[in-house]
Amino acid sequence: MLGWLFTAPALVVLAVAVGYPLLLAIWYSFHQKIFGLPAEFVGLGNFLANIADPRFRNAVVTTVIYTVVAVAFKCCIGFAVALLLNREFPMRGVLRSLILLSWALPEIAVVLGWNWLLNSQWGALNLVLTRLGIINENVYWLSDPGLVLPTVIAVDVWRTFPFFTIVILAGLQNINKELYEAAAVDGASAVRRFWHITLPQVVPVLSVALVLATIWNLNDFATIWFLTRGGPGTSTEVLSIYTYQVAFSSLNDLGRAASVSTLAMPLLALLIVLLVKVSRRREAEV
Amino acid sequence: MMLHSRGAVGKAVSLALALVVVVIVILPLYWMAITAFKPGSEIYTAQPTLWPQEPTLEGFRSLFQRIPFAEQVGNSLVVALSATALATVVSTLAAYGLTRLRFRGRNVLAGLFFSAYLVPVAVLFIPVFLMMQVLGLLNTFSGLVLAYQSFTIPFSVWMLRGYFLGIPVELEEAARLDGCNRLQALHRIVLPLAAPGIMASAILSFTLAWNEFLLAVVIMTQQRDTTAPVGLQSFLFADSAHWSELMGGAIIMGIPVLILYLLAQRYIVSGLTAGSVRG
Amino acid sequence: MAASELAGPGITPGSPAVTTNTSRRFSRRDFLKASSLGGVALSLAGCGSGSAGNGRQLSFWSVTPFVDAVNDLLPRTVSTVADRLGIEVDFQMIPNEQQAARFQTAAESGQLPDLFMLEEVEIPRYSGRGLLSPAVRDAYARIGEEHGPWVPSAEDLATIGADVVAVPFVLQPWMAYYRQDLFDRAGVQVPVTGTLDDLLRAAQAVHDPAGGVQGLAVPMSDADAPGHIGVVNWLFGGGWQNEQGELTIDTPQNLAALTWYTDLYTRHRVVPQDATSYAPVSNNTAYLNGQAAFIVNTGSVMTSLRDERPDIYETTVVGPWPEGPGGGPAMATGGAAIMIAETSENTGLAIDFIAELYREEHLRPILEVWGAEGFPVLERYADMPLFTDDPRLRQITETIVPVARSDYWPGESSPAYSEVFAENAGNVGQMLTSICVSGVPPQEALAGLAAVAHRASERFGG
Repeated sequence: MLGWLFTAPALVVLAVAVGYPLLLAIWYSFHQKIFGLPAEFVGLGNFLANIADPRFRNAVVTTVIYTVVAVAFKCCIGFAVALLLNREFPMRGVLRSLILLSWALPEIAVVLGWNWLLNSQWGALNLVLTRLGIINENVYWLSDPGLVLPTVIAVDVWRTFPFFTIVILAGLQNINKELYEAAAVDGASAVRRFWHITLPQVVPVLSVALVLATIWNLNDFATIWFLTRGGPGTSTEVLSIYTYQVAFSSLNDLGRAASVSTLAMPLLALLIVLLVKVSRRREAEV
Repeated sequence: MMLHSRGAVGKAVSLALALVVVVIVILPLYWMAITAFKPGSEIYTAQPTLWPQEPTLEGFRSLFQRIPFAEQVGNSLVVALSATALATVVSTLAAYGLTRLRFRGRNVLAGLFFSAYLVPVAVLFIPVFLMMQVLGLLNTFSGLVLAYQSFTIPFSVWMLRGYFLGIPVELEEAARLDGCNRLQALHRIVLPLAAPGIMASAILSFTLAWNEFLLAVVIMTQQRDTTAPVGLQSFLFADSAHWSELMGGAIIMGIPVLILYLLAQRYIVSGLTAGSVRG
Repeated sequence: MAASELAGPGITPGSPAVTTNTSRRFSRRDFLKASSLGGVALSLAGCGSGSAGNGRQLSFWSVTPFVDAVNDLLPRTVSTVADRLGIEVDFQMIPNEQQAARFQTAAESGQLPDLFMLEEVEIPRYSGRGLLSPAVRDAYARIGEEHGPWVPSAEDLATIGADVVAVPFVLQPWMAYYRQDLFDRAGVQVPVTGTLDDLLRAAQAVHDPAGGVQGLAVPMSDADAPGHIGVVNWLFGGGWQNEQGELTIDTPQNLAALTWYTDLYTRHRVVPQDATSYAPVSNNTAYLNGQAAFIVNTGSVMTSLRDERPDIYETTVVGPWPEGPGGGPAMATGGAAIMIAETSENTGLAIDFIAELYREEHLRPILEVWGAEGFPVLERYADMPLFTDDPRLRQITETIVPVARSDYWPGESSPAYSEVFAENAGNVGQMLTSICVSGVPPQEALAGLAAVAHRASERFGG
């Protein structure tokens, strides 16, 4: 009983801030609600319309690519940098703080900055690459349909890899050094030590970080919105931006927009299950 | 693992590699920062300068003149601080309940808290808007603070729960034997021990709220009452001649967060890892 | 925080008339709301509610104008007008890209401001949904009597069918800008009096992206469609609607126009590669930075050139879109108008406010700083020295005004038209990018737009 009492305030606030809007979203997804007009029940119409809409399918694919590729890259880069920072060398503390910077600064501030750096005509990146002779005409980072998604992913990776670095670094520092000494006595190679000692010891921290990063990317709006607004065309239109466009631009239909989110719920449920499993395993070990 | 590379060469290589990473992180940030101090003629040029030749504060002046940015930063501070305070208080209580008290449905409840974090803002912003309208909270800080709980509470509960799990129960049990009730035990024993974790979760909540954009766009209907990220947006698509204003605004937005991180970096790392390790 | 900082952009510090919203005060109602939600912190953040119906207070929203000088002057003028009437006006300029979210959410919640000013293509969307107060008729009639007559195209802008739904504030003709020096350097004639073929040939001659010159900086996105594809339709004998006001999307003429227009990008490559992600001001910026030989825009670019780039101003020629196989030369003209919200409880005061705002001492200075982007809606300003003495503006009145038509030509404004073609509806942008980015054939893309138009016609009539 006392347990419920302690959790009640948080539960009540969450019920208002998430629970009720979520139920409302589900209710809306069965209605057509165009701005300024009364809501109209359409049954499963919105869901069927979504599934039939190539733009929706494009948004699903783009979201998945954006999430999977970005998370994979930032995990690998973050891991590599953590291994590097785990070695002993001068000024390590200062350098570690500096590397954290891209993640610590506000997302919007940093992404706006990248929008400027990637400007095709005056952006620093093209100017520098031209000076170095790597390119001889301006690259349209944010408007070339073939380049734009990789560019957006690169900005996201640059911004958030330090999160993995911090988490993995802390995991590395918790590893008992005697394990390595024993391995060294046995004559295990560096690669073997990594596979058999480092990785298994870091996996628990890593898996939670992966789930968290996946959620962040799935939900991300600001990075893409402030770089491309989902364009050109629908080249970088992820689900969060598609939802916004359906609500306020192309269809002006709040119901249809809500149905996009409702359709995404099974995917989220899957993630929840995954997360609960991961944390159960952790708890069992604690 | 690589602890054996004590040789001078190994150290030099590590240092060199780390410097490369630092440059990759810092150089873009440096470029953004100096843009804020450049006059237009140095921004639109094919001969970029690594240091403003004629440094100017014109961008900042224009930023504050064109939009009520000072006020928007103030709004952001009030909203982010309030959201953080509320989330931290209720999440500390909840995390304590979830780790120290055995009751039916505890694990389900823990999962439920975190699952709230999985609900994307894009799902919520329309219903949240409609709800704020019903509650009469449109264009109020209260409304925005409430809306921000949808991500600050789940994140804080998740982090604090991990942290609390790492604090030995024995200390608290001793206090209980001495006649403390639950709240007293929480106050006297757990809170002081968990202070770094609470600090970390508060800082991260603050950052999340400080950066939020979508909910602020729909809930704050007045330009003067809105937050800094929304205000800054008006420079992005308005006219690309405004890069020094945008970068100036970005610097100002970065300062509070930067100070927090520099002061409390240790706590953030320990809090995050406790959350991750024991999540 | 000082009161002057609270007052927002361009508002005279310490001016008593424009309030800072009563917000920061903490009312009891807010306290009850906050505490009923159980948040300790919530109450810290208490913030006042709106200002509806207290008799001496008005709210007024406008989309932020593109000309900086207007940005500065408009809030000050509103403040002066409010002073004269002894009332308080909460004036807001909404950034263009937040317009849809702000206005639509306000409309959803019955919280539209008493007065608001929008581009003309948006007007029927609000009237079609019953969001506009008919009281605006009185303001329109009163200004017509006191300062009239209205310019005929301004009358068109204010009416839907026979109903007056808004008070026109400014006319904004589109115009084509040609860089004389760039065409000269490339050894071709400025195609201002030629045909579309001449334009294309001239563009091919000047287009040199590596050298920093784009031939035709025309958007292949949501931006500025009425001044671009909307007019090109006419040049091929087409148009988005017919005289009866029926949407006519999927016609051979429109297809020819769309094909010609998108070929500029996909086949002839005389358009900047990033035109597919152009925002409404991207072409302005390109021209102002000396990178474009040709753009189409409203007069905001002219005003900015005059103030910021006199060198380019000197060498710029303006004119309509050149003649095409099916008609022209032609140009479209837009504008902005003030509306009164149906939900306003201060319609009487709103009318008084509009009437005062249109007095010559307030309106004339605004028109002067607005320059080529703001053409007067009232005949009496037509002979302002600005429009007769300045050679560039005279070019506009002599070459463009005679061939300028409303966006809706040959029909009239209608809710269905607005549903499809409002800039933030994104339909035209989607059509253009699907062709230029995804390689969809123009025929198919046009059919997609026709389907959207069909749905809009069914729902909103017209």
